[in-house]
Amino acid sequence: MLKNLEYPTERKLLPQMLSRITDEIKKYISDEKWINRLKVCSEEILVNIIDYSNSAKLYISCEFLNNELRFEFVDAGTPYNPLEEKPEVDIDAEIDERGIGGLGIFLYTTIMDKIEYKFENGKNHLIAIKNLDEAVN
Amino acid sequence: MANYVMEIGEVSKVKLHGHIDASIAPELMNELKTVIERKTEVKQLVFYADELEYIASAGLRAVVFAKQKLGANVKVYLVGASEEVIDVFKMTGFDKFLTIQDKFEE
Repeated sequence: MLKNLEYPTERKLLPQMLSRITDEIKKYISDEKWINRLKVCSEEILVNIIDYSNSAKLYISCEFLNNELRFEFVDAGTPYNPLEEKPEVDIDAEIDERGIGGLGIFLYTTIMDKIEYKFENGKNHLIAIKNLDEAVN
Repeated sequence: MANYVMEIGEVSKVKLHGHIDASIAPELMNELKTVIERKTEVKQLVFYADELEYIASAGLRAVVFAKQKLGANVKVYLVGASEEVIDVFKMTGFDKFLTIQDKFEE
């Protein structure tokens, strides 16, 4: 379990954050594809917080309960619900029509089973849940 | 010295390696711009990915940016990538802009 791991919101610290998260994921998942997918989700969420939250710090939690992995990312920045402004991503579009925005959120909302957002006590909470059924392991 | 771009020419070669997360991807993007600057010379662009352990959307954007800027006549290859790396390309639909194969022979 990871509980409120604190990091400054700096891109250069991403490798450290992802390494801690990946170590945790590996305790519960053996399938390399799913380990990688959950790592990608974590990165996409973290990058959004680092680049856009205006928060000095972020907090990472991860717990395993009822065969679900539950990630929670918290920052004290500008209230922002990424689910409200989810851009359209058309993965079938031709290359010249493919924009670069929204790819991160597209990936994590596609991969995770459930994404929840709440603003509580002055903090953004983004919760990402993956059920570890037989497809994952 | 370039960390990723190995050769710029008719067959331009880029070696992707390690973890290309959003802290690293801008460096890859900058190097790919040196290939794009010489796009009139380039007929094929090969990304060697056998030592690429991880890539997320920031890295994918750099690869697709190169393909967009080089234009339809330049064929772009992704060579030797792991299943996990290919999986991320497929989820975003970017796999169809590249020729994905195990080996590249000139």
